Amino acid sequence: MKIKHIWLFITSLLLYTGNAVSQDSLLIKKKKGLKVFSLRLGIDLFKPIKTNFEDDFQGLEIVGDLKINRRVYIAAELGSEKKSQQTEQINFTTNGSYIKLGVDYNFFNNWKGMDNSLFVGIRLSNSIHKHSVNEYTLYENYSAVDFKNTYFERATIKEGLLIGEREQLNSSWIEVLFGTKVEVLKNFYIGASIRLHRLLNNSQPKNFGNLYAPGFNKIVDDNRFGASFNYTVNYKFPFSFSFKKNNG
Amino acid sequence: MHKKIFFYSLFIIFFFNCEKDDICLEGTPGTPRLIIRFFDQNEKSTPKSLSNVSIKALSEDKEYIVFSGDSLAIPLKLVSNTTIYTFTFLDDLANQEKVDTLKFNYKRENYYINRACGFLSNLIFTTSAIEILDKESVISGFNILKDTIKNENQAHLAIYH
Repeated sequence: MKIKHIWLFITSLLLYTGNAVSQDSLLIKKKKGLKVFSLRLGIDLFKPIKTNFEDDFQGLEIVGDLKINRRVYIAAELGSEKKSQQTEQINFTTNGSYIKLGVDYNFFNNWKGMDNSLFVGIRLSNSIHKHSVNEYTLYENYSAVDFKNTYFERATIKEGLLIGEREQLNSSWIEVLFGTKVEVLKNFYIGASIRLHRLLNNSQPKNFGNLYAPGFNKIVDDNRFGASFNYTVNYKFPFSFSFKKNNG
Repeated sequence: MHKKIFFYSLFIIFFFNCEKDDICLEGTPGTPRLIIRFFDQNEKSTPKSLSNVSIKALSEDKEYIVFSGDSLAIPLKLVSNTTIYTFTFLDDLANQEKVDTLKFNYKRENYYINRACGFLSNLIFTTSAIEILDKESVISGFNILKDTIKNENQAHLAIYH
């Protein structure tokens, strides 16, 4: 207990002085450029776990943020996914990657020496991916009510023109998110966020639909919204540096 | 701490609630059936009804329909390019059955509809679209009215008897 308190005291002192110095330098350098206080890099935990337990999913997401000041972070997520899924009539695999870039605003007021955050954020996101149709069952309107009542056996198509990998697609969307990052060990943070997406632009393949985008998740026909979350472990690199506008 | 628990539970709830099932709406046009109209063999523009004809695909065990009337819709096989149907007519006077066998040749073109319904098939009759394989005198001829089966709005085939 005693040691912990001492450490807390020291770290808070250090952080406090660090902040004070930084605040000063920020004032001085305000005209010249951007000062960064820390870089945090992390990895999403949920996707690797899901990869382990589900045969038809492979995914990875790397997250990072740069602290610009006490409140504002520049944040990004970079990810890659391969997912096979069976919808009502279609079995297809999506393979691709995405980038999300934006800003987090921390509205949590830390005590001295603490560096936790509770933030809202916004992201502009873009994915590049391909769909590959594995098989599909033809829809017969005279049997839509009852699948088993068809006269012939229902036709499941496994080869042909429409089977196989399709052209590269592009989806972009905007995300608003709500999240937290908590320092559990010195420089180690556990983070979580929930995100609401709204699709901005969604290219369609020929004779198929863009039914899923990595990072966005399921795309439905009747609305343009989606949701996702992440659960991350992060490490903070405790250094600061500054970008100058005109450094030679 | 309470705050933290609250937010974690919030995102767990979010995670379990964001899947929505899509259901293919009833009435969405799908793969059309073949529409046949029956006409008189002498008076080729006059519809002529059939009564109690048992219609069955050769590959199936059960008949598709026991049909009376002059306009019929039958499904064609979507896993192959041919379907063979037998039309069994019951001759009341002689008390015997007459079987006509018809073979339909076509190719299939599949199109995407939407997420929930998937794909449908349009059938296009190939050059020897219909062959009368076995004729016991009821069906005397046919005429293809539409060589592409795209919808069920009008007859694709006229059969004379």
